[in-house]
Amino acid sequence: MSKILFAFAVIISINQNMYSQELITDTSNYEVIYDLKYQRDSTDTDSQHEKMSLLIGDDYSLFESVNNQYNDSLLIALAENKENMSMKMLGSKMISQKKSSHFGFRILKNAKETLVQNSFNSNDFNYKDKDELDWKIMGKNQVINSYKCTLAKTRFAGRNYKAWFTNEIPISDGPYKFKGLPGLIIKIEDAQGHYVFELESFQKKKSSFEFDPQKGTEVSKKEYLESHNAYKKNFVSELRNSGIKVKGSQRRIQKKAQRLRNNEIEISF
Amino acid sequence: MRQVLLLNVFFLFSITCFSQTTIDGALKTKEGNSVSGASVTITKLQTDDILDYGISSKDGSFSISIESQSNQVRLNIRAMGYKTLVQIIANKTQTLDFVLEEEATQLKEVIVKSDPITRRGDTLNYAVSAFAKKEDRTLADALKNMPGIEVLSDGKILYQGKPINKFYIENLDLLEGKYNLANSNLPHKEVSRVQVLENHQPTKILDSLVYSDKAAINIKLKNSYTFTGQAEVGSGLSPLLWDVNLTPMLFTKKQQMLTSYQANNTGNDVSQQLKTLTIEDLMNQFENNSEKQDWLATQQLSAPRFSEKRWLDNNIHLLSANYLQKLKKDYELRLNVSYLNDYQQQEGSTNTQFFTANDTIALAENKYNQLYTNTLEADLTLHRNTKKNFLKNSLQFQGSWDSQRGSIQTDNTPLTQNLSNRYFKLSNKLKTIFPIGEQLMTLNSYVGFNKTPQSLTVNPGQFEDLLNDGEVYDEVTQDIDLNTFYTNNALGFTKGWQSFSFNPKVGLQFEKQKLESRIFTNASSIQDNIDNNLDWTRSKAYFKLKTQYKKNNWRLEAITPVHLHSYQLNDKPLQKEQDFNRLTFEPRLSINYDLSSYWRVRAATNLSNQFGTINQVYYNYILKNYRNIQRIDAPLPEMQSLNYSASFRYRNPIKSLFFTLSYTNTTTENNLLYSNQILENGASELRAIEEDNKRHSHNLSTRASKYFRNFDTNITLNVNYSLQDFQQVLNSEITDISNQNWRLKGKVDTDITDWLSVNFESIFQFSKNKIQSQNNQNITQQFHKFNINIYPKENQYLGLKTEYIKNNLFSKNSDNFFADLIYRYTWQKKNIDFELQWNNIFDIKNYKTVNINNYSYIETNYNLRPSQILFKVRFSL
Repeated sequence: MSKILFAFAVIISINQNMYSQELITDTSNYEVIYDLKYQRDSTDTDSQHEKMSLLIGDDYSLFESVNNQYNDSLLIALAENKENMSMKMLGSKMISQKKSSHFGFRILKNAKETLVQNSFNSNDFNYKDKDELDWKIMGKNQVINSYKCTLAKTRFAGRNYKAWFTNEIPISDGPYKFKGLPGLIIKIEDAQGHYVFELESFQKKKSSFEFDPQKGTEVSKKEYLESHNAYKKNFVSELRNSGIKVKGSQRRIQKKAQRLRNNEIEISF
Repeated sequence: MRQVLLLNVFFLFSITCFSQTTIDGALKTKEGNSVSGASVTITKLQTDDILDYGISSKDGSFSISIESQSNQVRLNIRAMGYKTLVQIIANKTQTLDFVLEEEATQLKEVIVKSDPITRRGDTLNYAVSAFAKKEDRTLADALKNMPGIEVLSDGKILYQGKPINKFYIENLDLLEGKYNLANSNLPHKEVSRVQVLENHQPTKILDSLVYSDKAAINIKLKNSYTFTGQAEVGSGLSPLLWDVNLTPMLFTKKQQMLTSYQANNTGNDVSQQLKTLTIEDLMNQFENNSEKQDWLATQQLSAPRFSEKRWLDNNIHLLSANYLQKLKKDYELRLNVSYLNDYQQQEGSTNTQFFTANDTIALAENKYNQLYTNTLEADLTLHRNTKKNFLKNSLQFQGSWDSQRGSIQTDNTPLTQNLSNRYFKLSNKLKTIFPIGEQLMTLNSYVGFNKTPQSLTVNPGQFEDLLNDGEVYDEVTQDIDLNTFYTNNALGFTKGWQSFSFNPKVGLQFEKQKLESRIFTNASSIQDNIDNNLDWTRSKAYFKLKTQYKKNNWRLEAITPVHLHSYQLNDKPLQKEQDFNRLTFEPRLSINYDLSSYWRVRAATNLSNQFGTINQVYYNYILKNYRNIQRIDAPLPEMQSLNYSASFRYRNPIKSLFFTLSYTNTTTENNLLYSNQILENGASELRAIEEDNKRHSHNLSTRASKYFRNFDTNITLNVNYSLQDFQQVLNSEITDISNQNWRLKGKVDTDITDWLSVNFESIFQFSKNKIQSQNNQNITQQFHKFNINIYPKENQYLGLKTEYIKNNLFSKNSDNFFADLIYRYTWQKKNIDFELQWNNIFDIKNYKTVNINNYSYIETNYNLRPSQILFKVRFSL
């Protein structure tokens, strides 16, 4: 009996945990655009690029791919105009199904917490990441993109990183999940050079953003990474499972896809 | 050991304690508010080297520990919106509070230019040379390397995970949905840039009004004049096999041309490539009722239900030509022509058992059929797509000069059938969008004319009692011609209000048909001619309102159409006519609800009416095939169906578990029953009698799948069950018939190593047929597949495919085992693929199948393709 009661209590507390988070809104003062140069396939030296945006507000910052940001803003615009045109509503309906981009995540950070929203196979998930990174400041300076930068090192999710930050911008933030240095990160790369974020622009920008922790299913980071890995490994059959028709040799597509995605930014957790 | 460790820890601890100082403090404004997020760094006096740092927390406090020998250090406080504060302090543990002076911080803004992929508005430009790799040959290969773009193995292109809606070459849409023809044949070295047009609305007039979340791709060529293409040649034994595919293409600024010639006798039915691919186009064909219809037939052999490559004895030639010309004032003219010539042979035997309420009649036939296909299709489209105007007009012609010859050997006499089943169609389809006030109206109009002059000759003559006073005779010929004129026109628009969207549409359909048929016999005692001269007029006026509602997790859709049908049938010489009007209301309601991100529930119901077509009413006999002569002297069939369906879906990607369950229930009320008289010689005669009856059908299907991470294995299970109850007249008695089917399917895919994978699939089917509560023998069919794929090297592939099929037929059991071997080698340097196929290794000669009809079992023995070896080479032109 006590076991049942305990289980019940756990369920209630989980539920409360899940719904304790409310919608977070903020307005940015600055926007940093980072060029992300990445190599999804570790055996292939050709790398790809994607533009990433860091919106810095008073209380929070939001990091996501520029393409995703574009979709989100469009969604808001459509939602505001929906009385005017029904087809626009239809459009918003379509766009509400989140696009699967190479980097579909949204990362909301402040000094205290790092919240991650990501989706695959058209399901949304939320998880909390490590709050603090252990930075080691090295006595090395260099000018990057006209900012005087200082070198710092850390280890995160199975990779060693070199970060160049500047105290000319006293914002303790950076691309992806990197934060906590006494200045903005201008460039950060892992030891193998597979993931390189480099500042492309730093500009004033007033833009409101929001982050809804209730939008996705709350999971632990471990759960998220495990299921995402399984999805990547087996994504053709997972696509089939969700009702999408995939023709041709499953094995061939899968092998190719695996080869193309064997080099994620986070190797361990 | 443990003591040493402890000692070490103690030492380390004491050393750090020894030289470490801690500086605590708090940051405030003049007003006494705390300043958070400020960076506090402690640097060496001489250099700017940071000793350590802290970030002030919500209450403005910070704490920094430093290790330094120097007596003094510098403390720097920087915060957004505050003046930078620098102070030299003593290197000792202390608490320091600071008041920061507010100041508008002017941060240096920086823009660094570097763009590998350039973006202009909604357009992304990819430089092909930057993405194409050495081994890539076609545009499709290069596209696969571009970020955000994926190419599936069937040629479908995805951008950000979604299928593209248009594939343009130099902004022109030559091939519409069949773009793979260009994509997989165009060498990438001819292409300079690939443009992705995001949120592309193909209809320009709707651009800012109807949002599109799909992207289109536009190919920019290097030269204003490009001639290129690809070729594939194959040959093998035995008999002598060939397989050819030549695809040359030409692109200039004002014209584009793509031609493809494909021919083979290897059992590959390339005519599939001419089939319409997009759902929209298929729907159009259905609405327009313009599919080729064969009235007469030779007795066919039903084909085995597995890959046609094992049994299709063909000799096919396919030529497809596509041409596009740009005209003045933004008009485009496009011509797509295809010609198909095929000669197929079928050989085998059938064993048919007709079940009646009190008797079983058996018929054994040996068949040899020769099928000649000769089809020409042409489509001339005029297209104008501007910001102010949308117009698309397609004029289409289809001509089929098909014929068949069939020889049948029954127990006693040989019999030949000669069929000419021609078909001609001319149609015009128009779609235009124009504004009325602020509202955009859409007008769709279709006009079509078609003709089916067909004839069947059977030697010797059949149905002596009916056609020749019981005397044996030589030859009977059935001629038939149906002329159809059909038009469908509709006008509609869409209006939105809050979470609702309304889509009203008015339309008018009109159809006029003339059926003429005659049976000739060569016998002297000619009776009255057996003729049909039927005039058919049908019209339908309709008003359809589609209402959609979407809010939160709910999605509702109601379609409420009102139709006014009018039918007039008249056969003057036979003095038969019928004439009626019906007003029908055919609502459809569907509800979708997302319970959570894992569960989705869907329910739908609809009521619909169907009326018969001209091939369901004719007042005099038509010889449909050598042993089936029909007349349907009855009112037009009227059916009303009530359909309910519900489904649940569960998707849990965290557990890699997926599950769906769906149920459908349909009840159809019918005003007619068909009486099938089976004569002693196996010939049958169909008549319709007026008798209200119902047909119930239930369908339950479920599917579950789970991926086991530790074993790289995916397991899928499907179960389907269907039940049908209906009535049928068999030898003048109304008989209850019940059909039950079970289908179980299991599938396992597993990757054993990086270079070896296997998959296994099993299907079991059980069919049960009950006539007047008397069970017929059950039929069990089993299909098992086992494939092994080996990748010894990156450029090599070896596959073994095996298939085992077992049937429990009503006369005896049969089982077959098939195996195929395939080896592919890519010569990467020259971009040439070599492929060796060995099909039907065990040389299985024939295959038995069973078909269950409402009143018969048909066992077919089909002659398969022999064991054969084929060698293929694929290269660029």
